Amino acid sequence: MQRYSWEFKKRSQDLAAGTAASADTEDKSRFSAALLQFLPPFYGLTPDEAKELSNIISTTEYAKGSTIFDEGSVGDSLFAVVRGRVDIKIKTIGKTEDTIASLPEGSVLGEMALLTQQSRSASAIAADDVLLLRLDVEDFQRLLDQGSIAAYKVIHNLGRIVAQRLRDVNEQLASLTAQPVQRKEDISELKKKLFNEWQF
Amino acid sequence: MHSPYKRHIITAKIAVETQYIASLQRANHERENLQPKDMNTFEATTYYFRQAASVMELSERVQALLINPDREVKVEVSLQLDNGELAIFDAFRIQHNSARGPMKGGLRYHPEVDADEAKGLASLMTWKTALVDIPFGGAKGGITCDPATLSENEKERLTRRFIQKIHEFIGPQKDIPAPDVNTDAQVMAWIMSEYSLIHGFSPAVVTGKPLDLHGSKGREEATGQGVTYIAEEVLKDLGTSINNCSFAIQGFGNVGSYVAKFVHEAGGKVIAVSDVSGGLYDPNGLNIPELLGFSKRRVLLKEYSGAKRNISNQELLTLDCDVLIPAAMGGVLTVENAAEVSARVVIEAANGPTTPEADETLQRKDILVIPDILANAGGVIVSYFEWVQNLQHFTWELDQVNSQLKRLLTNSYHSARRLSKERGISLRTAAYIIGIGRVGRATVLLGV
Repeated sequence: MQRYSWEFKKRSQDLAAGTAASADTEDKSRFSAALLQFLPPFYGLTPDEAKELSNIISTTEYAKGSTIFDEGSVGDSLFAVVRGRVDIKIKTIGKTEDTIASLPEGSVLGEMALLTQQSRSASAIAADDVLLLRLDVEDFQRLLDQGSIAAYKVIHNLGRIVAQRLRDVNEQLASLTAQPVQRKEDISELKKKLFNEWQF
Repeated sequence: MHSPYKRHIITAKIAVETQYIASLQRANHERENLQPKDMNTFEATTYYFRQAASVMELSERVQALLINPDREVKVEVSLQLDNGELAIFDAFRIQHNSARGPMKGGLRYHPEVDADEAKGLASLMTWKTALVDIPFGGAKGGITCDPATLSENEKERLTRRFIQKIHEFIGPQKDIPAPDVNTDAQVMAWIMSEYSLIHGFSPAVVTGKPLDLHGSKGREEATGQGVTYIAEEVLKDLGTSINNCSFAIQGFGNVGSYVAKFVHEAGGKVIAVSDVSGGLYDPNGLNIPELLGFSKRRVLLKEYSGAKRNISNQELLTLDCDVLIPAAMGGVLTVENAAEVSARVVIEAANGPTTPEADETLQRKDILVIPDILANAGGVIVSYFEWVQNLQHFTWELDQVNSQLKRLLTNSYHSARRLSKERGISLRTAAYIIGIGRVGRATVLLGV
């Protein structure tokens, strides 16, 4: 699902450099806008729309090992990994935590928070010193309320992502519940076999 | 991660992997089935069942219907030991199939009693009772305990507590336990007593009881007697008789010693016997009455000095003789020694003495194998007579017990022999087919 490319890399470097300089907010938002086109929830935005969204997107840094969000906490923002890796961990029975994925640059996490502010289904931990884009639900909701086309495009994209995931889950469920193909047993045939074909 | 769905996907993935591993194991198992290896009794029973079912061309679904147990009862039995300590034992009863009647099977006390193995043994009882055509189904059960560490008192209380826990699942018309590994007539008497306390006088709830408490004449020697009747019929078919043949008998316990006794009485020459301490060999025939005195007094055979030569249990199996009768342990005839067996006939008095691979070797060598399911069915047949006598409140004389035993065993042998000849299959496969077929018929008639 990620359209991770050297282009994203290049632009994320621009953004990282811009953040480091931490001077020009205008620059920062320009860099973020350029990055958005590589992230699935933001596919298909015009440059203006990207810019509109990037106004409410901030950059945030986490030191290696720090917690970005906790399993069970309320989901109130979306993140995109610009630099470094983020580990996704769930609590499992018998073990305290289990890393189920390690997300590289270009990954989006917590995007469902934009749809429903349910609790996080996993924890996100910075595996390196990471740089993230952050979009808060509150800000996004304001855009929606204002009737922003950009915000509705994002919702549309999320709808597609959810639909795809539902299909994946359905397929997996189907493969789980599928019984191996068995020859149908005709009782009358079985009777013939037991009473006529085998005499003893 | 991205969404709550992800976790479900992960859970699903784990399940998919588990399923995949299971399917690999199944595939492996099937491959192994094509090339039989030395298996335990349970695996061997399943193997022989599959073999017979595939000759009958039964579908997977029908096979599943027949092989899966009807019910598995698992209980925990707590017990205060003599020293005041609390002990908890796992106990279970596998009730395999009741299509043909109340279920019947042994109850064993052993530290390694395992429910999986019991499932195989329970199904073996189903095919066995059907083959010899007595109106029973199959069951098996046990308590996971080391009876050697239990006092007589503790064993009695353990037995009674166990019956208190499973009394509603057993009964003269439901499931009738019998002696097995480490359980004897005394244990059966306790079972009868405890069950009767709850349900009123019910001697028919259990068989293998002491003669003085509604047991049957001929029950103790029934398996050995049955083996001898079978030997008589088989040798007659081969144009000879017991008094013209030499016998090597492995095991000198409850089965082996009686086989030796009856074969000797019928004029047969017993050239070798053995117990855990090793074997005795005399090509001119051993003095069986003298040796029986040893087993009565529970003295090991190695103490006996009247034999020509002492041999090992292994050597006994490959002796030059007419009839080899393994009457002790399972799995003694293996791929390693089957090629060296030089008997003309092997009669399986023990349960599962021949591994499937050894079985093939013996067939290639044209050695006639009388399968355990038929050869040692004497025990369960006389158990049936005991049950019948208890229900009739009438005792049979020994000659009635024996003549009925002989009739049932002879009929079963000839049915299997006929089927084996007609279809060009081994006696074992024929015996299983008869058992499976009868259970199948009853199942269909009852309505599936």
